[in-house]
Amino acid sequence: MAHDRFLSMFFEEAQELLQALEAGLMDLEARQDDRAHLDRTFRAAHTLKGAAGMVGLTSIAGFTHDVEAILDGIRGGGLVPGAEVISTLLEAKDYLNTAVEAQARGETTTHPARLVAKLKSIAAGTHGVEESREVPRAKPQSSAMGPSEGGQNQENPGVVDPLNAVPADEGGPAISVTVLEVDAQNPPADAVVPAPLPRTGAAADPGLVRYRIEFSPNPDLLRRGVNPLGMLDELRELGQAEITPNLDRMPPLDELTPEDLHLGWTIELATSASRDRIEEVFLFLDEPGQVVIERIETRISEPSQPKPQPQPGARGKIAAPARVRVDAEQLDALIGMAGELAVLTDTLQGLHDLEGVGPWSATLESLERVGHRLRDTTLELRMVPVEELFLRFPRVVRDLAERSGKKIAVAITGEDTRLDRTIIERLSDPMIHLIRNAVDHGLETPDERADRGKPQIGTLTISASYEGDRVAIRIEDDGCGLDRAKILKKGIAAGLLPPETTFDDPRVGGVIFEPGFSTRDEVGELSGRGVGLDVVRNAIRGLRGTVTLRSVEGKGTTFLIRLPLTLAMIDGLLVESDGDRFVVPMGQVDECVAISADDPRWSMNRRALVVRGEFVPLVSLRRAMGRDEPAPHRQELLLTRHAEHRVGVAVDRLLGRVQAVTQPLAESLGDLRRYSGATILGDGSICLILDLMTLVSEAQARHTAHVATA
Amino acid sequence: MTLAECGPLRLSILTAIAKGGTLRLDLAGSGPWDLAGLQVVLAAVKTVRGQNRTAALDRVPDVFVDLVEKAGCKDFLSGSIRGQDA
Repeated sequence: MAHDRFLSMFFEEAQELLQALEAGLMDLEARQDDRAHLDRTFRAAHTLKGAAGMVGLTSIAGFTHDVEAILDGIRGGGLVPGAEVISTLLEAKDYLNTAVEAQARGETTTHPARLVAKLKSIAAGTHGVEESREVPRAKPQSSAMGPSEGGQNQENPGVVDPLNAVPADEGGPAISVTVLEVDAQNPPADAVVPAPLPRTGAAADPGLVRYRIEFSPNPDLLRRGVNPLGMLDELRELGQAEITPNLDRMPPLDELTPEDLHLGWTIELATSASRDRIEEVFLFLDEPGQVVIERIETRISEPSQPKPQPQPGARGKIAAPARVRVDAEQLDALIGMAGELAVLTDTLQGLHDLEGVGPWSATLESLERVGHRLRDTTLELRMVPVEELFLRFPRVVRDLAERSGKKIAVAITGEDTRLDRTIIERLSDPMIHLIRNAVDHGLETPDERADRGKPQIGTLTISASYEGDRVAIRIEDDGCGLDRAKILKKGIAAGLLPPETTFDDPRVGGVIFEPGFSTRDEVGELSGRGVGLDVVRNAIRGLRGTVTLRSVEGKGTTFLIRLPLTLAMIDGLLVESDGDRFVVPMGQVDECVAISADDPRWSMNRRALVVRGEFVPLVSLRRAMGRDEPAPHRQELLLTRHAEHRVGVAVDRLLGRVQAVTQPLAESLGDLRRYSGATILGDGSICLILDLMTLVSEAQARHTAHVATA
Repeated sequence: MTLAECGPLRLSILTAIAKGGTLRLDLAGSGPWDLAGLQVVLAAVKTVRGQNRTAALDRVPDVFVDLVEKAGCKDFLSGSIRGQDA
């Protein structure tokens, strides 16, 4: 149904708006003089409120109204965005997240009464918050009047720049509102300028401006799920509104199309709000819904001018790039097909060698070129800026810092670096782990930092950059660094390091990634249970990445994560075992070792091999596939790491390197965890992609079960 | 009476109008109401008044009254609203 579709669209849009709201709130204290920032933050709440109302989620719209009112007060100068106000707004944003997610599941939530009361009291200026130092506290408003609105000329509140339209790229959908400036002295022939309404007590207030608004919405508004009554309510909130329906275009009942909207309205509004603010009410009329706003009893000195079109290279606002929402599954399907096409066109290149192909040679070359470009372009569609991941972290740090009594500034760079969206989605948890680690273990309290001659405010820098064909993400703190002596002592005590390990041994730093390792003597709220960094390492390995650290005691620690640009395409080794071919991701293979049956390095009845003094247990791919035929005299050993130990996977032959576009396996195929996907080779055959980690785990589990039953 | 039900609502009112005389709509227990449903009632009242007849809305529920006020239609319908649902 159309309404379900609008609801789905709302839930998608709401997530983006809530992210924008949070990002705006995080900077509110530092940027309270930045009008554009205040407007953007306000607009996120305003758009969310309006969108919720439009799809009938009046409870969410009502709650958001209080958030919007506070933000309106801040941008109007009537409220100072101190720490308590921002914390309350962030709490409200978190609740809205929960409420929206619940609605998406078909559930409802109950607004927390304490939070609602606090929002209302802050909006009304009755909460014990800091008063504005420069602007008098906003006067308590009657129910007919909205909050005082900034944006007007403070020296001449009755004068509003007639061309001060809302820029389309300032968050939210672009509006298409026709604003006609009507000269009250010389109206156009088809305009009607009725006699001014008698002034009421409120309208006589010289601070108020009177407008006449002709609202003639398009007939399809109801079918599109837009509720014009919400707009009328919003106008009422802006001032004293007298609303008269226009029933002229209402046909007789026998001619009425009930699904069409046949109503219009004339609204006489006395308000202190700016024209901008009035126009914002109609933000959701993305068709030219014909709203005419006329200021009553005002001389307009200039006729309406068309907005100048931006010139290429002109200074000023840059138009936002057009964006299209695409279903993720459809995108993946498109990428898969583009990959197949690239493989097929590669196959066709063999035709160049045939006689008589001359006239088609150029076409074949073009086909190959276009096929590869199509594959590369569709792969590029999966790439998104890391910004959408990094923007979550300032809030995380803020909350952690509050709880631990530390002062931390967050710096983010390289946020436009692009990564595969699947990697972005799966990187959030490990990065939050590392950030918690930095706050809990790395960064000191203000007093500790002062004792060490450091600034009281610690710095956490999160950065991303390209390094060759990889992306490097760094989480760097200027805290106390690793206590190497403590790590060495704990590592030896836990049996993770040999007793003779020296202070400078390079293994000392890496031991913190071992399961169960922690230097904390007490388990804190944030961390210290020793279940953090090994999980981080495994998660990043699952993304075919690596994580390392560098630390200087007393100065700080840097965690470095290196990741492939995309998971959609892998560099792989093509291997063969008993006639079957598989692709093994290069990222899972440390090295390849050729072995023969009479190699002296064999150990334990050929169940292990000694490689450069290291005992490496073996997993036979033949045996893992249930093949009983003996292995060939010569095999290749793929050395990989599993739980910090080297393991060798024996295959019959290495056939070469491939660049493979990965395709997911259908769930209906059953439990195929040892395969991470499939790909199509150059000869058109389908080849499964092995996950060596799972293969080794399965072999270990079989061995353990065998030992248990022996 | 919402967008989903306004089609059948229109037809039943048309049938009532065709009978002549005062159009009497008993709205007791009706609801929910939205703008589409209100629009049907407005068109019905306008049609009947255009024929110099009377329209009466009996036992009007609160939800309908609220909607009428939101839409600014109180003056238009005030002459026709005869009673509110208890």
